[in-house]
Amino acid sequence: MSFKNGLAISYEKLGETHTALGQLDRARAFFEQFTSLMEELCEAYPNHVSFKNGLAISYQFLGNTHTALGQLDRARAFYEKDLQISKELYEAYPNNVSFKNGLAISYAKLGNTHRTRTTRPRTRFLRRSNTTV
Amino acid sequence: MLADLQGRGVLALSQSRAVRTGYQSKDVLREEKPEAIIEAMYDLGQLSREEVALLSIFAVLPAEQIPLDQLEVLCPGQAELEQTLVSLSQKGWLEYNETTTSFKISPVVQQITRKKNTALYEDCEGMIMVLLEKLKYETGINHLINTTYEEAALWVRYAAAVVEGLEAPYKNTRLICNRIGAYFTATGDLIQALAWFEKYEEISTRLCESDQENPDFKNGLAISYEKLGNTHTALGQLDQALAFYEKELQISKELCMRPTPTTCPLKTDWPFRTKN
Repeated sequence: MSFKNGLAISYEKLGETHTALGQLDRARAFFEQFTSLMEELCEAYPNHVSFKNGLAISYQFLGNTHTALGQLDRARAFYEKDLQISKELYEAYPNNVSFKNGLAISYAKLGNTHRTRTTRPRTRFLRRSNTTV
Repeated sequence: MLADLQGRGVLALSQSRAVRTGYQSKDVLREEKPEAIIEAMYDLGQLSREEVALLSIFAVLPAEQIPLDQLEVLCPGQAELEQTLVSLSQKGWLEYNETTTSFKISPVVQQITRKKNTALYEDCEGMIMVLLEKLKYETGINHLINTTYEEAALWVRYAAAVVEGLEAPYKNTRLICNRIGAYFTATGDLIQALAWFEKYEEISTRLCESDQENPDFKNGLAISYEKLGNTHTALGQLDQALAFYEKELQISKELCMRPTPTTCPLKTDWPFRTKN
């Protein structure tokens, strides 16, 4: 096993700290690195449950960061990826409390994102004009 | 003088004068420093290997009465434990207290043993493994798995003494620091947790200096930075946390760029981290 997961943790911690310091762009950059390492790890070790869980968490971080940056479409895409993996984890380990909790959180995040989108159409309009690339 | 005794110990006083003694010399008085005399009075060579090994355990634990039942836990696989204890007491190396069925070592004997026994760490390793096992925690939440919190307070105190007693850096004393740090994190004493993670970092740094190519030592250093980052985060000191996480990143990158990835245990805290 390489030290890639250690590096991934470092990126994650830096992402979290920059989030707490309100530096969202820097946080996003770190979370993106975190996610891409987790994707590599999951591909290399498809049966490694904690990597899979880590990947779900990394998507959720990106979802949170994009939400905070007002980029709700992007946030939703990440929350959907999070939900997909969280479902798989819960189905594979129905007795694992923390996976069940993780799945519940995924639904909540996605629910919140949809609610914000429908009740705040102006945000959506502004965001579209900003971020359609 | 008192500070000297407490800090450096009786065998390494900064000032000491030779005194006249008739000890081990015929008819004439010879001049020797007190610490040399003390050292000469306690000769580990007169003890059996088992006795030295057991004395070493006392040498790194607090110099207080230690009940037999605790010693039985700390010295697993020592078939002749009671016999060895009795013989050490009879020879005057330990003090036996009948009413509490416990044994006590004097701080002077502690220092002699720590100084003279070249296999001190090896003799203590069994006990260290027991303490590590006792203080094992559930990753992520630091909850103790193998002991109650009441009992853990005692093991933590012993474990702390062991780290102090073994001066040289060892992989397992590094792990003890981590366990103690986790205990204080779980019990909410973040200042103590911080102090132990700092000790963890210090030992990791010394290990890395002793062998710069050792990936396990480096990985340990990365983890120590992470623990320090986590604790500063919990204390609300985000700038300091950030500095430690950046250091962690630096080392993690170095580890990942190694030409041949070695097999190594995973960083701690991975399984089942919960979402926020």
